[in-house]
Amino acid sequence: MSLLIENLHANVDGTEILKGLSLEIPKGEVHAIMGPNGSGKSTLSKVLAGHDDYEVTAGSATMDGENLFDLEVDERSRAGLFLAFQYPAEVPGVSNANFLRAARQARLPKGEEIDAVKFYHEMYEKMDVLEMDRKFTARAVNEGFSGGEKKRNEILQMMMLAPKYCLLDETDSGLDIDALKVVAKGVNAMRSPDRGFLVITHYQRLLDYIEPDYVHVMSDGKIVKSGDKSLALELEENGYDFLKEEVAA
Amino acid sequence: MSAVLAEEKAQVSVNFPDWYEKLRSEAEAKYAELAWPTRKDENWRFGSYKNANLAEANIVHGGEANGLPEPALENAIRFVFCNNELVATEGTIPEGVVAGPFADILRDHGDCIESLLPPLQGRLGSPKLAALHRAKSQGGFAINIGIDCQQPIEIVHLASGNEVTTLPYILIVGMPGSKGIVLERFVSANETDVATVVSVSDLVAMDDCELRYLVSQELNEKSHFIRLADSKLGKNTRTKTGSIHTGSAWAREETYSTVDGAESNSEILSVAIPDTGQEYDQRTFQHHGAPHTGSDLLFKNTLFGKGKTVFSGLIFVDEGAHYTDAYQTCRNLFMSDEAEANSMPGLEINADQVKCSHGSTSSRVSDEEIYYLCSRGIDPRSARRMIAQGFSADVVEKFEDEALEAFALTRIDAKFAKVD
Repeated sequence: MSLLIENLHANVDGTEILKGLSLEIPKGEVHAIMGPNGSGKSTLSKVLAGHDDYEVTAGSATMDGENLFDLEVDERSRAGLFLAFQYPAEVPGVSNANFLRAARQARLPKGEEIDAVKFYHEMYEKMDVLEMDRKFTARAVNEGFSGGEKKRNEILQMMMLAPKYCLLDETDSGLDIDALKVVAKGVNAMRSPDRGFLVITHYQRLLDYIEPDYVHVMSDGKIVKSGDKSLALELEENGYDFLKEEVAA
Repeated sequence: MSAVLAEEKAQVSVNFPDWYEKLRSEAEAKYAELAWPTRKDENWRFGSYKNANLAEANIVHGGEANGLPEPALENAIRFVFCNNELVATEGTIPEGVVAGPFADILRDHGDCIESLLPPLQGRLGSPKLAALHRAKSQGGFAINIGIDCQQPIEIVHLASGNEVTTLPYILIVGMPGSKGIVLERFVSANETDVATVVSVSDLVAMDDCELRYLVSQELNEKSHFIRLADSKLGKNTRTKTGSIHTGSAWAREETYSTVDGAESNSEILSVAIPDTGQEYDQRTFQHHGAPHTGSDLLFKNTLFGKGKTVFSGLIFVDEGAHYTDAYQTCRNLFMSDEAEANSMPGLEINADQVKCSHGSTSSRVSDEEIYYLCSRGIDPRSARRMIAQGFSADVVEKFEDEALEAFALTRIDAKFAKVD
């Protein structure tokens, strides 16, 4: 049972960004992807979650054996994939509570109605973990939220939707250290043998709080190196110069 | 007098006081003098000016109600009119509130009404219709709120009969220090009869008042609707007036708001959701006649199919009305490529130290917003609908009254369920 990506190629506006990427994230594991700017990290997350701007030209991605590319964006979500966005969209007029409720309702069989009391109870519980003010439930989705508030909101959604596989795209960007700890607490609370994580980040700092089982380095649309947590520390110390050396060699 | 009016059916005779009969005679003379709008009339630019004279045909008073609509607000004092004739009442009018048929109120409180009655309306393009209305309207309704009235007042106007014109009228007076909530609904007796409803409303909010007044236009999609709405605010007063247009084939609404008292604020709100075969034409005037006054207009149109809207608004700040805060925003959300929205915001400032802004925007539902909702498992159709509903709900929340908001959202949801 895993999120399995094999030889994935994808274009944006006709330019190939992913160039044969392969990676397997079994349930119960946390994988981190690091890499220089422009290496294709965010593209990978968008391609997996499904976005019209990205065209898959070759390769496959399956989630517990189900071909992701056969599914529409909403179907992928309902099948158990979740992407915490680097830049979450603002949706004026739609309250957070209604949004989450609709997302939960979408997962129920036709004709079955969400239990509103249980839903709110659960939402408040999770908001407490993320130290979010209850007022956020009535506010429009991400509208006027600070960077940190948006990221907490992404994690709240992740907690409420309990996906099988979570992709976190630079969740640490724009977070101060206290917010980072809170967000990490939320993610760690969700770690389970039934769930896999792919954490995309620029900085080792995040991995101090969300400890990965494996770290991968991405460069020019491919995974070029994999290792354990120590690889992240190595990258933090030496940067990505080794990539140039390897290319030169 | 036009031939059509001369041939008018025999009307129920209502006894008005002499002074009001005089106003009616003057209005009738004015009606005969004035011309119908033409293509060249700036106040009817982009609008269907030819629809204005629909009001001439077959003016009726009273009719077959054939069942009454369900109450919209819980615990409301309710008055139901059929073609401008009172057919049902529910609830007890609290002490400190006077409410009833306009003719009765004129009979019992004529002196008070005479001093309060605003001038004849129609300043935004329909003086002939305003004159016709005053000359020929037999019924109407008046409310005088003299207390902090916790109970909302719900008025329902049923339009009944084919090819008929009705002329509802409402006068709302908020006495000094009073608070009140009024909901006025326009409903068709069935889905097939073609009616023209020409409604006039006068809102007089005296000093230190807080009034909320929502109009819901939910006529069948064959009918026509014209509404001339006037409001006048005293000192230190807050009003929230608004309309929701979901019905009728064509609706024209002229809203004239005068803020004459210092520290007063008039909030003017509208939600319109036209689909193919529907056109909503709204003209507004925010008139600031005294220093330290405020007004805030927010109109949101969500256009489906070949729906059409026209918005023309003017903020007018009189000489000497310094420190005015006035805002005007019209937003159009296109749900189709074939819809048409025309917006003409305007501003005329003749005073100093004012804060005014006006603007209009038109947009589609953003792909990124839809994508975001879909990425959480919501299907694209529901996502579009949620965003569009949210766009309208934003206006509704400004009423800051749970019961009115809940009713307004029900209307909006019903319309979305129908068109989407």
